[in-house]
Order: sequence, then C-alpha cells, then structure tokens
Amino acid sequence: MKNMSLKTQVCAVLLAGICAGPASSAFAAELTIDGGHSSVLFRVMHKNTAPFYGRFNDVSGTFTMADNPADSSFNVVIKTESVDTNSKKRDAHLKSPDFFNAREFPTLTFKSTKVEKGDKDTLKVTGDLTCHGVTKSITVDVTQTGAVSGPQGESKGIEAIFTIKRSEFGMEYGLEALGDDVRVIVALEGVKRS
Amino acid sequence: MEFTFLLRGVAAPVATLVVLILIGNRFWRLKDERQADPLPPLVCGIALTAAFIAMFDWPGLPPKEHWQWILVVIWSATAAALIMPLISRITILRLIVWIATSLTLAWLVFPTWEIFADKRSWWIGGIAIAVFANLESTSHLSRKQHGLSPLFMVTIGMILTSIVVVLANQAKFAQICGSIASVLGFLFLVCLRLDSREPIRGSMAFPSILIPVLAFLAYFFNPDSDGETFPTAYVLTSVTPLMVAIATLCPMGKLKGWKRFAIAQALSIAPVAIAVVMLLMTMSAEDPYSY
Repeated sequence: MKNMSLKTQVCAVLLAGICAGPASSAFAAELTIDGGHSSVLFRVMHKNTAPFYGRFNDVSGTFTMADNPADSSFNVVIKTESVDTNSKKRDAHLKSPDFFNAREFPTLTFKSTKVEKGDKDTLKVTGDLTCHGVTKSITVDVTQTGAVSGPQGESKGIEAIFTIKRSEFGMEYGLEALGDDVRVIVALEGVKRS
Repeated sequence: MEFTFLLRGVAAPVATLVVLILIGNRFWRLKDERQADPLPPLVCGIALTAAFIAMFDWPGLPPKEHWQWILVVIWSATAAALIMPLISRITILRLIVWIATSLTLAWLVFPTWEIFADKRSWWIGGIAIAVFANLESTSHLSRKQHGLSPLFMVTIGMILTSIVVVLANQAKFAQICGSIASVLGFLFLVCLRLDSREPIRGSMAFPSILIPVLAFLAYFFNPDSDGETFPTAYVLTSVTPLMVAIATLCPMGKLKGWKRFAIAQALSIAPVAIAVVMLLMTMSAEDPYSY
C-alpha cells in the first residue's frame, strides 16, 4: 500500500466494492417458495383428547432474508382448496362455510409488515394474516434452518411455528369437538435459480 | 353437529314463537278466510331471525359471506308470507309479484364466482323457476282449508332437506333447515292443539322460498360440485313445497283418512327422498375414516 499511488488505492477500493456488491445483493435476493419442498401443517385438539394434524398442499409466494432484518420480507399464499386431512369427506367439510369457505375465500395469505432481529438466529416477523376473509396482525418467530449456494442458484430454508385462535378468524363451528387454538407449522424452502 | 349449537337453533326460534304468541294473544282468532292476520308470518320471521343470530351472530349488511344473505331471504319469505293470503285470489297481481320475487331472490343468492359464471343466466333462471313454482302452487293452500297435513308434510320435507345439505357438507345450512323445521313443527303442534288453521295460510311461503334457496346454496358451496355436474339432487329437493301442494290438491278418488294422508305424504317427500338416496350413492366408499 505504501508504494501505491492514491489513484491506485482508490481503484482498489472501488474494485473491492464492486466485487462485494453483487455478493451482498445476491444474499438479499427475493427467493421463490418451492411448493414441492415446503410444508404448511396445522395442529388442533380433537375432542380435547389428542392433537390432530392436517396440511395444505399448495403453498407459494416469495421471501427475502437480508443482512439487515428490516430489509427482509415474507409473502406467503396458501390455497384453501388444498387442505388435506387424509379424509375426503372431512376435507370437503373443511372447505365449506363451516370452516374455510374455500369457494369464497380461495387463499390464506401472510404478508409481512415489519421484520426485526429476534433471539439468537431468529427473526421477529410481524405481518397481516388473512384467513376466512379476516385480516389480523400477528408476530411470529422465523428461524433460518439452512442455506445452500451453488452453480444452480441459491436456496434457503425457514421455519415458523405459531398459534392462532380460529374463532378470531370467524371460524367458530365445532368448538366443542375441535379446539380453538390452532398451532401452525410453516416450513418453507425458497429458491433463486441462477 | 354440536348439541349446544343445535339447541340454539331450535330453542331460540321456539322460545321466540312462544313469547310472541303470548304477547300477540290473537294468534288464532281469525276464522274468516278472507282475513289475513299479519302476526303469524311476522312471528315466524322474527323467530327465524332469532335462530340465525343465536347460531351465527349478526352478519351485518351487506354480509361478509355470501351465504349470510339467507337472513335477507328469511325476511323476503316473511314479506311473501304476509301478502300471500291477500293476493292469492288476484291471479295477475299474484303472478307478477311471484315472478318479481323469484327473479330478485335468484339474482341475490346466485354467487358471482368464476366457476359458475358461464351458466349464470341458466342458474338464475333455474332458481327463479323453482321459487316461482313453489310460491304459486302453495298460494292455493293459503286460500283453501286443507287441514294441517300440508304443514306436517312440509316440515318433514324440511327435515329431509337438512339431510341433503348435510350430505353436501354444509352443516350450517342444515342447522338453518333445523330451525325452520322446528318453527313449522311448533306451528303444527300448536295448530293441532288449538284446532286452528290460520297460521298455515301464510307460513307456506317460508319453505317455498327457503328450501330452494338452501338447496341451491348447498350445491354452490359444496366443494365436490363443479360447474359441469348437473345438480339433479338439489333440483329435486328445491321443488319439495310444489310436491306438497300437488299431493294436497290432487284428487285421490275415494281415498279418505289416513290412507289418503299416507299417499299424499309419500308423494310429497318422494323427490327429496330420491335426492337423499342419490347423494348417499355418490358418497365415496373409499373414505375409511369417520370424523
């Protein structure tokens, strides 16, 4: 450095900046949710006896995880028609106005409005959850479960587990048989093809 | 179906009926066929509204969910029940009112979802025809005395309709059917006890409108339905009040008493009973789990 001219030093700094720039922006790239490797499960107590699990088979959307949490964003769309509880009759009932009213409200959505740094490796994500035509702001802890970067692109995994009350979303049918608290487990894999 | 939910759907309208009948204190007085007492239809309308709110809360206007328009349909049926005895003899006016009512209700309950959009006019026409046929045929029951059997038959028809909508995966609609059946059944029992037929005159408008509306809504909301499937079972269900009128009015020769009643009852529920069997037959046998 001692023998370098000021002009050379400026060039070196600029070069370093150019090299670092793409790496940084790639890290904050918007990732598309890979529906084939993502899962949305829900858990509800049946007759206050045993937890019962169901899932949604069609999840899509995008998310961005930036170095600065405030620049991160999450946008998830779930098709209510894709609800799957291993019983065709029960699925049909879940799609009826008694529960999700899938004809009238074909999607469940989550759109983040604020992202902050949480405990350890988690992000505290606040966003609008729209379910059954009712939108409520919720805050969930999102954990990054892994990241891979290679010649085919990059992918990241995240997981969030949170609990909502279905009655708050206008789904009050069968509260005696099926619990009000619904634990939701969302595991998403986002990909960006190169 | 939850017991407390069922209790609210049945207890709320019946309790409302009892209170209003006691307050009204003139429920059964009118004997002149030309007179029309507005109290029985109003009492039924209020009782069904009480049941709806007890089960599902006040939906607001316009309602957030399409099916909640049923509350407006209940009051349309109340209005029809109020005027049915008044216009039953004036054919032109009656036809105009029923056509306007049928088309308006069909337009109101038909959902604007893309899946049914391509046959919108067919659907609206079909619903309107069913409502019109029911109203027109049961108008004749409001002006002549036919005993209590039409009320009994339509109550049974309403109970079978609730089975149809349950098989269409619509428990809420079944609860509404249960409420209507409890109101009609209660009216039947009170009429039987007091030997009065006055409340029957307008009350037939409730099933005439609500049965087709609930049947078609059950089809529209059933996730197993699609625009390509012809809803035979639901069409059969929707004309139950028409069949009650036919069964009551058709001549049966020398048949009298319980034999006539039994045949009329069987005839009136035949379409909806066929609908139940059809839906049971289409249920998936591959679903091993009950829930």
